[in-house]
Amino acid sequence: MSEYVLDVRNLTIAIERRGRTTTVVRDVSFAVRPGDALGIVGESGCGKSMTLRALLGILPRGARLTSGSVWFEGRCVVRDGVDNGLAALRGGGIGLVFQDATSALNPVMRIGNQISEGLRRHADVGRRASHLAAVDTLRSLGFPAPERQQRQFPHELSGGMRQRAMIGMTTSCKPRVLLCDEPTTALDVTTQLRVLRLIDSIRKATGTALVFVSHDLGVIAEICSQVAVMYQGQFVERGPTDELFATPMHPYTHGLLGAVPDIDAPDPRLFAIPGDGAAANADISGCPFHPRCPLAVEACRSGEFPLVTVGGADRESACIRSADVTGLHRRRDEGTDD
Amino acid sequence: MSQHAATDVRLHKVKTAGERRHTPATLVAGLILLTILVAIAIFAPLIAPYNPEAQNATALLQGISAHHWLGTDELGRDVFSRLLYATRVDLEISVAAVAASWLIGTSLGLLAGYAGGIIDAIIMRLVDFVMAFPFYVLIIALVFVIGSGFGSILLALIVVGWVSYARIVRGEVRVVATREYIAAARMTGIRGRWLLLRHVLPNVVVQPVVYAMSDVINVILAIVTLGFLGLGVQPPTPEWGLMISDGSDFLATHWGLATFPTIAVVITGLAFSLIGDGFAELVAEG
Repeated sequence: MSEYVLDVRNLTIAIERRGRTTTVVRDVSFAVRPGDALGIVGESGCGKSMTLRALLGILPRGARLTSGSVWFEGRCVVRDGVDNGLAALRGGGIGLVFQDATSALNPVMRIGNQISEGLRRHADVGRRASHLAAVDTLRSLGFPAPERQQRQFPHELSGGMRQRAMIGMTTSCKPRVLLCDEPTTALDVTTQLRVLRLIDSIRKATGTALVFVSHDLGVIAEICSQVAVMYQGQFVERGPTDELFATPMHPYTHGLLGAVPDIDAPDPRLFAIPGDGAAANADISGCPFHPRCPLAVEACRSGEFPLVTVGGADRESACIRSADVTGLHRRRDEGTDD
Repeated sequence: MSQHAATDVRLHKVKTAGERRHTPATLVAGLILLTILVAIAIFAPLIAPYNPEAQNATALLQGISAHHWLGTDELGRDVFSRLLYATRVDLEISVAAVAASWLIGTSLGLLAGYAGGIIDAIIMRLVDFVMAFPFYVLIIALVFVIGSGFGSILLALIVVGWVSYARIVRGEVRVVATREYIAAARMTGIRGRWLLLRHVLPNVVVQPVVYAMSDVINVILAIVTLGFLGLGVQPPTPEWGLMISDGSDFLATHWGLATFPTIAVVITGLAFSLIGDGFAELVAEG
């Protein structure tokens, strides 16, 4: 157990707004070892970002942990929903790369200062040494003229450079767990690949554990060995990335994969999951996906649907008809679906 | 050919970084004017031909002459010398009052917006309390209670003045606090005073600075008004409001006594509003 650097168990987050409480993340559990790369995939508003922010104790106003526990390097930092020292992990323990570097960098502060600041506050490094560290960080991130660029303001950099600077800001304190919140979504495809490779090389070089959140299956496949699929604040399927994408065992994963464009397919039509996942429907009982599910049966409408081991030893699905999903998926792959 | 004309590409002059950052003319003009006024205030003893408080019974109410450039008042004092020394008095009080209001208001606004809860409630109710009174009514009442003179009008102006800064800054802080870069800074382990001073303050500081420029004009007018009402700086200290008040008795015969200090007030007001406009323009260009 203690081999895990970060161990999250049954994390539940609720948002309170005008007296109404909505559960946005329900019973989420995962654990990562140093050097692991876990992807969390799901559509917008499914609770991916909330999960990451909860781990840093920087949830937005109105949102709070209601239950669950978090262990960091064997130390309990959240017990039964009560923050027990998350603040101490910020910077050195857990770092987060934000989705939109443009808004996550302070507009009136020089890039170099933003990168070195965490070091100065955290590792108690002096002004001169932290300045040099910032220049080194920028150089390692592929900035062509780090001495000059560390003096620039965020608006003077390109989008890709800003995101790399953001990564620099997060990684300068050498976090043992690196969380990434869709860091490539705002970038064009070529820049996206560069940033992904950068994150991957940082993971390999430093042995940090990576938790990478995205709605982009291709991005996840690129750098994560394990993947968890999230729907309406719950994990619905988890397993090794290649296996899970090849043979999904939850109808939602099946739907997501069908929504990815494939230019080699004989029939290049895109599949859309019917219904709306973003519509907050916490009142739905049973499996959260059943209103949109092609395989839904009466048994799906009530009860709890936790992840259970299915098929291979390291595959988990929350679907009671997971065996039938494989058939559904094979039929579509052969072009005989509907 | 017409086809050619239609596809004619107009060459736009590409703006360089240097051009984009040009200083607005209004700011330059305002700063020059203010520099002159400050120089006058500092070097008044060197420029003034007479002691501003020295009376001369043999030269009462004289017109403009080579000896007395702007004439003399009803006590034979040199108007030009008094005008120069009054610049010093008025600028000192107004700048001190605005600087102190800015400092107190910005600090409390920062605290209220960032801390929230009970601290926010206490500070903002205090702001509401002060704002509930009309500006001059409160100033005059305060001066009545604590007495007239340099120190007490300064105090009265600060007591009334800080609330606007607190309200502006508190609103800005509430907005900035929800920004991603504040969450990102917290993510790297920054918190407390460091977060407030290095991340929040630089992002809220522009608004109160712009406001201060127009506030200076209000404050100068308030000082002049108090002087005019006899509640401000006490004679024989030269002060514009006092000079206008004294001179107004002789407006029909010796118009200059009230007019020259009025012009001085207008020029000072102009200097600060030019700076305020120019600064706002500079910031808007970003």
